[in-house]
Amino acid sequence: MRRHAEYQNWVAVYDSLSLSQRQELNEHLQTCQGCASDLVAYRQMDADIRSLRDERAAARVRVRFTEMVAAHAAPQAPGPRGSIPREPVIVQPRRVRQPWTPRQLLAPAAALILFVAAIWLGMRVPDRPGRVVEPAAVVPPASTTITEITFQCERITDWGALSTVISDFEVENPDVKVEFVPVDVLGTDEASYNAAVKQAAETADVFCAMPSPTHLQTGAARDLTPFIADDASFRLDDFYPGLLHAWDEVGGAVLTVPTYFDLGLIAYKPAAFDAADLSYPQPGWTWDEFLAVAVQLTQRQGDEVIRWGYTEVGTGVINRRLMSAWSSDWQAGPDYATLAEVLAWYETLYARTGAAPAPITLDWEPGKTYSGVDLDPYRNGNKSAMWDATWWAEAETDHLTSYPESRPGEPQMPMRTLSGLVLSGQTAHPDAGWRWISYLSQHLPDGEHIPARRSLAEAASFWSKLDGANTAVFRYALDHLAAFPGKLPSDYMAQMEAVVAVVKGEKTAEQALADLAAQGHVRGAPEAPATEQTTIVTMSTATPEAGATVIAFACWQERLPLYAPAVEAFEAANPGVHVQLKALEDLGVTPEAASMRPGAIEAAAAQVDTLCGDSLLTLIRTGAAERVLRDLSPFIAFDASFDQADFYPGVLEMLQSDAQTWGIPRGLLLQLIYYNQYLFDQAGISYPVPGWTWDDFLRTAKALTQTQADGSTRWGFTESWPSQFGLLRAQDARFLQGGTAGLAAPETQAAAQWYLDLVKVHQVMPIPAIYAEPAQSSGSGSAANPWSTTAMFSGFANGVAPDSQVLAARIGVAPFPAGTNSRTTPLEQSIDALAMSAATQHPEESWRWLAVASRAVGYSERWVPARRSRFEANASLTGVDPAVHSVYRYALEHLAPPLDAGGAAIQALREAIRAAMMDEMPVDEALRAAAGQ
Amino acid sequence: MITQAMEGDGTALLVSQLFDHYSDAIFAYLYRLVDNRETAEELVQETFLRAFKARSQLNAIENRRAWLYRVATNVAFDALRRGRRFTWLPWSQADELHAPRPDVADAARERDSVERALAALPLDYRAALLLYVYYGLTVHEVAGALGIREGAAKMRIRRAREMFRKAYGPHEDGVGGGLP
Repeated sequence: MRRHAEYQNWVAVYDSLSLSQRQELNEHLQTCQGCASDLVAYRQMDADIRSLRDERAAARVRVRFTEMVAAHAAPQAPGPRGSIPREPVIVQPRRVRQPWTPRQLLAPAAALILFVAAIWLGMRVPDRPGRVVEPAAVVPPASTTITEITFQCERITDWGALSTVISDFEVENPDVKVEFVPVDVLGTDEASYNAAVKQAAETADVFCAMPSPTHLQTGAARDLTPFIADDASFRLDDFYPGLLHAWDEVGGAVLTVPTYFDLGLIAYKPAAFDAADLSYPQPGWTWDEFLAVAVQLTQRQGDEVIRWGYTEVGTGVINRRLMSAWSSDWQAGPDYATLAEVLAWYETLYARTGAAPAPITLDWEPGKTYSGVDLDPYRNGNKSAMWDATWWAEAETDHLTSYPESRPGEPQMPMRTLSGLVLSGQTAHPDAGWRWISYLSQHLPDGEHIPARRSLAEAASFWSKLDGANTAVFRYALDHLAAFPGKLPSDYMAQMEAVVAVVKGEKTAEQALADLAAQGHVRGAPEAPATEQTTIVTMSTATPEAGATVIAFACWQERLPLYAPAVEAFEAANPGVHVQLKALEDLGVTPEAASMRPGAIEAAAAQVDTLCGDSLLTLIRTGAAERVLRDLSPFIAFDASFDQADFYPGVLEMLQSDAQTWGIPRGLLLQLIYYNQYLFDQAGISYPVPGWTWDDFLRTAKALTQTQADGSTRWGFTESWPSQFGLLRAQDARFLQGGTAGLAAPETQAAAQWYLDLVKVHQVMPIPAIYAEPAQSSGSGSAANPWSTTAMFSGFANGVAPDSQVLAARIGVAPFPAGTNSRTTPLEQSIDALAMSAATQHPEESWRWLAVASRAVGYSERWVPARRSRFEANASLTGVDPAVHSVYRYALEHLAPPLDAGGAAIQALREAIRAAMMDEMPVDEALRAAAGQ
Repeated sequence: MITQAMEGDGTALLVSQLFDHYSDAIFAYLYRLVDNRETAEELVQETFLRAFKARSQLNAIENRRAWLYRVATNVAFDALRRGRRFTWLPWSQADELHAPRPDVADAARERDSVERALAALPLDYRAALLLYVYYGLTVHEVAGALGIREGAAKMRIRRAREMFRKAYGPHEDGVGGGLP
């Protein structure tokens, strides 16, 4: 009898099954509803995937390919002895192995074939004395039990050489066979990378990755220190300093044996230096010398730059200048004076002297692929006198020097480690796995990168590609490597954001430093001087200038029509004042840019008098509001017609900081609880009504949690992305008051424990997707169809059509339950609001327009009006069921206070909950740890 | 045509034929892996350049289509690996700040739900699912193209299906998706 999992695999590849397999599976499908429904779903899926339209390559692809072929079409000649081909040797993957036929018998033949093939291709065959294998030695004793381990790695690209290493290892270890799987562990963000590591740990005994303590804690990786201690052949001092990293966070555990690394270097054009009568840069030079040289080497013709002094093609200098201000062990960041020097240095290079263009990589955004930069204009053209050379392979053609230093002589040279060898935490053969790791680390194939072991690096072939000057640079850099910390300190990240703002010209160095000091991200900052009070504008003297006054108002294109009637009414009531509607998109702001780059919305604000949008909270939290927007408090104070009580409780306060008001709320994203009425009816449970309690909620969720016929669970409640903190916040809205420090408050711990108990103790809720499978819950913001797996779930107001035919269910809606704290309706961290640009020359007219606009618009999409008057207006309630309307009203009257926390606190909370949810540590401990961050 | 550059070189002509037959399909495959037209164009050129450089071995390759997909997959993974150099850039905190922004989610929602669900899959799995379902490779060929064993290929296809299914459900507003 086959295992069920095998049938599940068969279902996934039904069309590839043999006839007999298909018959057997068909019989299984008669009795297994789960597999049968999977097959139906897969067929539907396949049809949908096959309906995708194929994009076609542009014609230029063929043209370029033709050109490339022409350039390479010369007959293949043997390369120079000692050179290494850039392309990996193409070796057919090893297929199914015969488990009881010792592959060692084939090793000599395979090696011979590879040897001949390599000679034929003109490759260098590494000298490996002692690697001739005696056939007699490869036959394991009859009594030996063969342990087969799987090695998953694509980092070692020379598969031919690796195959030889495997054969040699198996000769020396006849009780172990290594099955090589050339697959890399890849991820586009931390979450997907963690998922890939987990996957590798499940399928391989040894794999190549860059693990962190998280992977030890989740059982994906194993601590190697006991193996290292017992292995006399494994010499620790053979590694370059800092490469074999012991993680203090997990008791000094070693999680990976490093394989290779790359050096960061600066490339330069000698001719540029010669023409300017400058000495070539030498190892040990300083950042000030770099700056002076870059300025002198910049060539201009009028306003146009003919050649940049320096160009950042990777992330070298933008990284290293700041890094070099930190202590070598990353324990101490720069003091205020040093950081001021660093920021001024960036400002001089990029903004003041224009000796370097804005780095290309600053246009990079999460989720986008960066495919490298064409270096030809730098190497063979005159685009720049210097650039950052990240890949050591460039040493073959470029003139190189080491990075400048702030403390000459200290180990500060940048390096980039590549995937190391990891022993799976789930392997059943740890000893065999370690023997393979130890052996491979001492016999790594010569390749495109620098071996982490000094003994291998000294014997590697790359030295032969370096001329005398570059050899000296390499020697210097290798002797001054800066070990990279396992995790960047939080102040570093905040400081890096400041650097980016300065480099992009969004802030002066002075502003950036002041902001860092205000946020507590620099030590030794002087006391902040008292800020000047905003000038109060008196409303009574408002007199339009002669001729028409134009108020420019920017908003998302799709929302502009909502304001058109208000414009008409405003202009009729304000002769001589016109409102000009502009789309934010036309001002260079996309929704993504507004989300990811506060600078984008800042730039747009500078071009208009007034604007609306949902990024105001971002501007407030990042401190940009004071610079970009006008404080509306004086206008509100002087405008008797502006009724603050018309706003739902706490809403206006969301846009206030330090007694200043940066916007007028327009729309809110309200969270509610949706439920499947059919399931309630079936279970004989009353529908939830406004005012229901948390006890009611838990009792209901328990009653509705059921194991279904196919063995899966239908949960009582599911908390959907992105409202992952809805329940937590609703439990006690005081949590997170005070920022990160508030995480350790007893209220926060109680709320978090209650939240975790829903999963761990009461088992009425699955682990929220953001913690269980973050790779799929981030980005799109989507949730899978909740109704197939849950009876209740949280969602946005207006987000679920109550009469949805798609869901084939009657959907009810309820507010969040009440407890000792009745203000439990969670608000998302966005608020659609109206604001006045600091750049406006018409503040009084702008205010009048904003006041009118804030009353003009009712429901739109998922946004519920922030004003009571607009909510109650019949015209805005088209299509909303009266019963639903009353739920909305209750929810609006019981809004939870806004979070008094920035992104760092939210991230820390999320990490703490995740750690507790995944049983890595108790919740109170996780929260205390998070509070200490 | 490419043939001019390959005159007198039989294996080079073979590469030309491969280009004629498969360049569009390989481009489409790469486009779905890297989600960027220009990058995909660069990668399809790199794929066939590698094929061209390895042309002397083409006659020994049993299944050239699967082999081409393997080269293309490696090329794509290499490119993405290079891209990882920049993942430290300090947008992550901003990402956390703004993750719940609904209008971004709305924008994503407008994208075709199948494309979106595919994009949600880790690269290894997206490649396996595309090769098997969309490009019609057999399990044996998928294994060859990805450089893994057949058993691993089956497992990968199955997991890719499960991931896709999860990502492809209707949204909470009932928009998109097509599975029960």
